[in-house]
Amino acid sequence: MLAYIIRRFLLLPIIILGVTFLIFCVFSLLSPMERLATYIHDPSTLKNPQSVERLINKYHLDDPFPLGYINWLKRIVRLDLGWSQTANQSVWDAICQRFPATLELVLYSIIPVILVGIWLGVISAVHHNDMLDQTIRVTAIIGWSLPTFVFGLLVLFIFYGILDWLPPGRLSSWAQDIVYASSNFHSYTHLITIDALLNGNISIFLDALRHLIAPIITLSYISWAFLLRITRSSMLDTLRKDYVRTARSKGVDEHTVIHLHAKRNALIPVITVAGMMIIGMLGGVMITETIFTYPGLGFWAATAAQQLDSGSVISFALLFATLMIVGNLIVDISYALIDPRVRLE
Amino acid sequence: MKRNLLAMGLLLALIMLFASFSFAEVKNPDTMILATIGGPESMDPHWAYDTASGEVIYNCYDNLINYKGESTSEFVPMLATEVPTVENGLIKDDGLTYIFTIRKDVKFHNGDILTPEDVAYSIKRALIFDRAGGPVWMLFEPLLATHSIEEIAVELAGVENYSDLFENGDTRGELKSNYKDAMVKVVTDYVNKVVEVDGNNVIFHLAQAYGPLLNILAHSGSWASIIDKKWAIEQGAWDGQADIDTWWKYHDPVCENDPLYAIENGTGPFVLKKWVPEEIVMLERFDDYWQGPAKVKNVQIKGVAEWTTRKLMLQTGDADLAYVPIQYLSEVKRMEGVRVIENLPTLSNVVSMFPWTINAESPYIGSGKLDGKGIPADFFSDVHVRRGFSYLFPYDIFITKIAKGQAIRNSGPIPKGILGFSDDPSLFYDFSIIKAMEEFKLAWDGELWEKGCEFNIFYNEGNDTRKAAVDMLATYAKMINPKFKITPVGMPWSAYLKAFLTETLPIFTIGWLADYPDPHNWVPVYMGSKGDYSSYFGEVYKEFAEKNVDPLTEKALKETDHVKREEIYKELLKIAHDQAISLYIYQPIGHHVERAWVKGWYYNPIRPGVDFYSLSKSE
Repeated sequence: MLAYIIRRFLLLPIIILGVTFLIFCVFSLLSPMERLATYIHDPSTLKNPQSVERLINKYHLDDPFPLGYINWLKRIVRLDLGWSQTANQSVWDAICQRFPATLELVLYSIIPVILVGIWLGVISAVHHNDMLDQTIRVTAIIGWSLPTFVFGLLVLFIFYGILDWLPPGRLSSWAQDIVYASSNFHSYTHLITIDALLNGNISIFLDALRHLIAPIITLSYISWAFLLRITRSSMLDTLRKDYVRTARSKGVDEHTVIHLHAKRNALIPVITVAGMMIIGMLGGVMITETIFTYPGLGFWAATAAQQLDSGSVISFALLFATLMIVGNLIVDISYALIDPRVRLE
Repeated sequence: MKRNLLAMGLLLALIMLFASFSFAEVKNPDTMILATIGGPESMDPHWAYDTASGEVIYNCYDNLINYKGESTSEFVPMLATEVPTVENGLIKDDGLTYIFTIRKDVKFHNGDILTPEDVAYSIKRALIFDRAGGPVWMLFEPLLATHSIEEIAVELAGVENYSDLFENGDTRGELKSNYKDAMVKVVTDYVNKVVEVDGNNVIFHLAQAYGPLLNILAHSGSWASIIDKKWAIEQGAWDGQADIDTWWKYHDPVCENDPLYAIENGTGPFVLKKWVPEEIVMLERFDDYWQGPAKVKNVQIKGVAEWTTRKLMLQTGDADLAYVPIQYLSEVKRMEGVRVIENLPTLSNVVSMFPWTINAESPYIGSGKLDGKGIPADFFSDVHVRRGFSYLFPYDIFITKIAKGQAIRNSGPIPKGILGFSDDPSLFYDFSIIKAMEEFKLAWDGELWEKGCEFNIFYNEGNDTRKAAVDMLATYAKMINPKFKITPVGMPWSAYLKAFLTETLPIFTIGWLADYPDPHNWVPVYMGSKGDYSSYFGEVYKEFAEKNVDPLTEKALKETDHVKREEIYKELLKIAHDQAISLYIYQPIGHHVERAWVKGWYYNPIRPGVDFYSLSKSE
């Protein structure tokens, strides 16, 4: 297995090179004047005479594609990801600032996604076509078909606008004062809930949690609804298998049949989907983050793409490709652990 | 069933009751919270040219003089003890010398005491810094009669381009040794000579008499903020020397290499406590502020991109002030505990421009001939075409229906609130299909009316107001003559920018926001031969402007008598009207939204944002 893991990690630079090369190719299709839009959001910037020529020269916007790409690679070797024009900070700082926020949101969202999605999927399959199954399926269909921005706004409106229970953002104003500007609060992990516990500050922990609940509900509902459908189909398929019938005919009790014989096999495709879904959530939380003013990675990446901020887009692609590869690897390893028939060679 | 309904009703009533209690008292009494869009680019006053940066810098730094409250024409002293005037003898030599006496015992946020050296250094550092696309061009015009420090260096060294001065053309690399003397002279013979310290005075020596100088130096833009020399040098900013540490290494840096990008040390009422880009700016009251401490202890400027979230923050009292786009204004007007202040004239306008000569390679002019399937590149050089379109736009309908009444008309490039604005009816084009038809029939010796035309007009995608404007123009054009086929097209900003710069747009619509409240910041932009927009009108227009516009703008700039200046600008407005140089669509009217517990807000259209020093919170 170790050799397999090493082999997969060795592939990482090649894949990253391919991804960045493709993005560079796309950006090279734009003329220098189009690329200038990253630096000129408003025509008022043109008030400075000769600014167009000076900006093109300054940011090497007219460099030919190979030169631009080679210069970028040289910078990457020096671990310099460049400057994000959309985040108004270095790309590395932007990632360090935003990735923990998104990671925290996704980590907390995984719990309901996995638990609720798999649990309800199994129940739904076991109670195939009865009232409980129908109710769960309708709930799942609503979750699956409801656009995130509609559901998110609904959650925001009810739980913040009317009840004032679950405010947007990552922290309340008083808590921001402590976390961002107080020397007494140390950020060890940049996951605020964890840092709050490590600092022994329960009120910050509760405040951060309070801010997380609404985005978690929004983000996880759509995901668990999808996972539920996968689990249900897989479970139904497994329950019809011969070995399940054999187990039943041998008098094995139903609980053991479902949870020991059927569920373990049914979860194999679910793990693939769940693994990829979690990685996807890290890059695809844009709408949830926007609605709840949650300062994460997704919103920044989308803005950067819209504004042709090549440095940010390429760095985001780098990060995401790495996550995808590592995530894939974890899924493969989980396969081997869950299914003894699978051997990683 | 009835019982269930009753229970649901009770629950709803409880929720509403709970909600109504939620904003009964002042939330966060020590902190003023603004929920807005976007965030600052930089905390360096010499970099910042966006309003979000300007707002923070405005509250952290002071300038030599300030606008008096809501006025855009009266000044009060700030870090200077007096506003220079000819009468008090602080403006001398026919407007070529300005003297500022510097206030004593003013503290910077780190405790350093303000000196005249700090003032001189701030101006010189701005001139050295001069980033591409930045604001410092405004200081170059009056002080050195040029637009950038690179122009001076190029002239002194006798090279064609600034990059020619450096090895391999890399302006961040090594200077060619034979140009060192010329580069040193840039500071010794030019930069050092424009500002000098004399005792407690700082004296500005202008290269030309320049009416708007005090506007440029006043507390509205960041570029003339006064920074602490000692502190700036400690941070790694230019050391104030001409040749010891090579000034050109501090010129036009990239943002990441600017040592003052994320920090501040001004003399203003607030200290920058924390800036998390695109998320939050946290300011804290400076208790040693020379005008006395601010009323609120903390300020938070939060970036909230989603409108619904901003609205709910305002509703629940988590935001005291919020940015509300015009289309949502009616939603907050109904909100309890919220105050909406309307009819605030902005110093900006939106104009559709007719380039007299379009780039002949333009893909947007069909056949490139007047054959009904396109237009010639010099289509708009015919005054009747321009007048025809000027009559064709339904100004009042646009203001009522699209701008929801939150706009007014301008007769020319000068907006209301600026010297030279005129509401003389004879200077306006009114919507008239008959007059438009008459003009179009005269255009191109009647050929246009007979053969028709076909071309695209553009707006930048996402700007619905501009889309509506070009849609209206296209619709009415087709209505008066079915052979007039004008197709509105939305373009992403990047493509729009490119098309504008390459002069391929037949009509382009663009806006302008004031840097300082003076007509010189408007008329040359839209009408001058070197104007920021009008320089893209082609050679024919350039020749016209050199002959008819530039002499008048130069004369107005040097004129110190306001009445005489106003007369000159009226003359320019008449030219703008008679020649129908552009289609002056509208000047937006602004609004302000705040919780009713916010006290002390006032409006000055030239400010880059909220003056938090004036605000407090109470029932």
